[in-house]
Amino acid sequence: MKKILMFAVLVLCFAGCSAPKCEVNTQPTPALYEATFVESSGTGEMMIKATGIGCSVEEALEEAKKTAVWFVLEGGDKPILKTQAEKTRAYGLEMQMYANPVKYIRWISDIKSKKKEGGKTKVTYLFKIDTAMIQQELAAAEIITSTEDLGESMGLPTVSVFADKGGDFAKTAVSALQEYFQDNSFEVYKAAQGDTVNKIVAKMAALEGAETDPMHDMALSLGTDVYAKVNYSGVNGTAGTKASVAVEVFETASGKMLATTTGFSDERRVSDANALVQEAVNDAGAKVVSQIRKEWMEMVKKGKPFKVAVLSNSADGAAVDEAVYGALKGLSSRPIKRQAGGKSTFTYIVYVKDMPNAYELFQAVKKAYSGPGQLEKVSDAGSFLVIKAAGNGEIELTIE
Amino acid sequence: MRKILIFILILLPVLQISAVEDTFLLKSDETQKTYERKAVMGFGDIGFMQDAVRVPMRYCEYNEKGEGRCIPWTFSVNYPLDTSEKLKAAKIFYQWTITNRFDKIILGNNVAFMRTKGGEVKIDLGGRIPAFRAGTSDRETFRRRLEHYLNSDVRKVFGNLLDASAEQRYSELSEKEQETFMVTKAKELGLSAAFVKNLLNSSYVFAAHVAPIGSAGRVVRTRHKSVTTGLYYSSFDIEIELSVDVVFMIYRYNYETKRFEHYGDIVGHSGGISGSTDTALQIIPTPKQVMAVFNDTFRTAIKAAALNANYQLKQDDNFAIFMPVKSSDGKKIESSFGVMEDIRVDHPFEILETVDGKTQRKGFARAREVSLNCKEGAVPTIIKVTNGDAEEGDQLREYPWTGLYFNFGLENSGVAISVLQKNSEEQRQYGEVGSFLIGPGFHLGTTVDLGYVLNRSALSEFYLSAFLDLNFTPGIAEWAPEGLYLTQSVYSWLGGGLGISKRFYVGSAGFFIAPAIDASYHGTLNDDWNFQHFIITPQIQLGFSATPSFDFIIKAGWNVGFLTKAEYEDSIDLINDYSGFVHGLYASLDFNFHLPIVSAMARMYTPSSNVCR
Repeated sequence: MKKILMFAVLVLCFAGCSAPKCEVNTQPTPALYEATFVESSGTGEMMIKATGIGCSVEEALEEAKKTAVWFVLEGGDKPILKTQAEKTRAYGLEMQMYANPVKYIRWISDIKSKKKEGGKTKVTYLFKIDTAMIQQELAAAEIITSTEDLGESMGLPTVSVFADKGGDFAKTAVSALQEYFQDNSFEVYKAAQGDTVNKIVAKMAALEGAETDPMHDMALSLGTDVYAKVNYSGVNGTAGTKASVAVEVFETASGKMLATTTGFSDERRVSDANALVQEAVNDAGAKVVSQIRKEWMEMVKKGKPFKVAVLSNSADGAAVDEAVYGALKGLSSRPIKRQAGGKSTFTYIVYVKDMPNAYELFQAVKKAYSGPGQLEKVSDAGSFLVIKAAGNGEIELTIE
Repeated sequence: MRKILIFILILLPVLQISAVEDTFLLKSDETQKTYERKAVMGFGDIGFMQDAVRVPMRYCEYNEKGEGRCIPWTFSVNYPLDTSEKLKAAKIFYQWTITNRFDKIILGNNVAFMRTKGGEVKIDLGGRIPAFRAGTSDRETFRRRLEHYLNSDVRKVFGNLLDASAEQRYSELSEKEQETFMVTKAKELGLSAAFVKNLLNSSYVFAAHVAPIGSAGRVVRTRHKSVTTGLYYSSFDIEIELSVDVVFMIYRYNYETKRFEHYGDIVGHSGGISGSTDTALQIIPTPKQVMAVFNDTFRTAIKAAALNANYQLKQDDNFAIFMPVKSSDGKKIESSFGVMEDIRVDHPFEILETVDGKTQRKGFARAREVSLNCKEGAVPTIIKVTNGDAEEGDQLREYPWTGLYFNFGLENSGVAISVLQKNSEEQRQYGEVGSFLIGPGFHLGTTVDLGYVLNRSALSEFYLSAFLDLNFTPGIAEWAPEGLYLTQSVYSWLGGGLGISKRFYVGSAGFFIAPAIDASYHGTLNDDWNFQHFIITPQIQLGFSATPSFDFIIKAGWNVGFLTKAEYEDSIDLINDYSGFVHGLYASLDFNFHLPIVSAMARMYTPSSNVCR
């Protein structure tokens, strides 16, 4: 009898001991790093497909939430915390975020996948993560700089957007892209209906002789730092229409291309393709905003570009040109590009560091100016400065 | 330093908005597969290989004791299958195969309809599309004509109708692009091509062709003795037995090629279906009565074949209901699927989960209260776990089922029949010692879940059984002036009856307890003694449902009833020598095996609810 009992105990023990024991993740960090970017459905919101693993569905769901937050912070190709230094600084806050991921989750889908692997449960959900809140908290903790701070300290470029090709759908794309830039803290200058190119710009364009881009001229007239050209095209597929929106962004002063990209909508069946345009712009906007910021900030680091037009007369022109050129050279470490030079009128592209606008540039040039007569400002708009100077007589270009 | 920091920070990714790069990222994977409604077109007609059924007949004669014999007749009876009967057959067949779970495509004279779950989409054909005439031909000829018809006259209409109905059907999808940019931000909800293609390529045509019909018939002449006059008279019955196999052809519409492609064939079997004039007429049944029997049997056979085809269709993952478990306390699951997916009361489901890449079954559940899900927001279907457990993210798959079982049981049906002990010819009293028992035996029969078959929640888990018993008695008690004695002969008893039980599942291990009652009639098969009795058997059943296809049940009860006949050598009435009251212990071990072919039980099945129509 005793032997039987011992045998039974052994069998029970064996059965109990042989059952795989599920180990709970006791670490604050996610147990699994499986996540995919799905879409950004708002300016401060991302939809992430994230997987979690745990001993139960509930536990795996909690892990999936942490994985989704991790993805926004560190995962994918555009994480918020990009450098190792930021990750190191963010460690404490990151752990707090993992401890309470629900705070950043606006929506959870139904379960998208459930599997058991190695005795553990893996579940996948879609999450909408409040990325704006995460960024704000990181900025408040001085781990990253907030968008507003960036704008205040360095100045985001002012932007104008023009429809190039694609008819009314391109106009829809322009509106959507303008909205997009505004959502991303850019200052957007919109050409009102009937707006024409500034006469100075037109005259300068005529003087430069080369065939100029009317959108570039309009951007100069509006005084924006950069301008975007939008092209729309739609393709009919077997089950619907696919919209594509191509966006090209140029630096206004120099005409240099800052960014170019094409956004696509999904192929959809819609009665009004404007919905597709909006979807395609969203796709393009994500890419183009990132490129503009990067290029613009690179440019600002080396010196913000200005287009400077100088008006004089044939008597003093050479001396004024020399004096202005000298003044500009003293302000810029980069070579000055002369665009048009005649006897009485000259244009330059100049890159000046820490110079927020054309008016301050005028003041700096005026201060350094040692040529004939006094420098006077004719106009300043964005990156475009027009000045005049003459020792004797009138300037020869008449601006009506 | 500050500038460097600012520069670094300025390169940080900013909020980016983009459309869903791959719409399928939004969809669940196979572990969470959900049934999506398919659009199906049937026809008003089904194909036949014959315009008449030639039934070889036999002639049988029985006397008033039921004794008799049958002889083959030299002639056959030719039953015509007229057009109206074929159309009725088509209606029955498609009623049971194109059920509520499908969006129905109907071609009219000048318009085509798509009846979806929540509405109807109509397109103008701009002219008449000729109807498909199934006609009479062999299967391959039928198939060629069908394919020609589909890929010439119908395909354009089909494509246009699918286009027109895509938005309506998309809105009824169980899984859409919810909460995505397009849904929440865009001015208009556009249907993603991925979803549209899925809808457009989930459209089918069901066509049916009846294989040669198996048949047999009998003319039965039975002699009766009038109870009132004592005179003899004869009745004539005509019995027909048919078996029908319907080849169920499925074509899928390929939206890319705009052609119908053969998806597969299913052969629906009716099993043997018999019908009889059963008029007990003293005259020969009229041709009209005989034709009515034939038609009734034929329709039942078509219905039985359709039920079998429906069962087989559910074996295909493409047509079976799948749903993820969204929330569960382990025992109760709620589902938005209901009458519009042809979910019936007691509808069984498998509970599945994926373990290390393989789908494993972890239990079973059954629908108890079926949602009237005509519109969004209806009260959900309640599904209760009977075996195992379910957690969120598990998957339910419809278990193909007919609700019908073949039943086999080993029993000991004790029926004590007390002999009246005679102290003298005049004085009689019941003797305890003089009882004898019907002993061990077995029974065969069918058991049907009334809740499922009649689709009534009030009858959920009520099982109706019909059975035949064969039992043996080691001997019977007799009285002689010398006293009581037990004969040494083995007597066999044949009986039959009906029973009803109501199952209550205990826990979720598959065990159930069922109060039940049987009513049966038994009689001896031996030549010398003729005992007959009627008993009812209240009982309690303890069972285990291993799967919806197999149960075993232990039954224990008590037989109570009365003796109706005690004769010796056909003429000596000994009923007064025995107690009228009979009783005894009843015990049985039963096994139920699921039957996919319902045969004559098809008559019981009620169609799926049309409450939403």
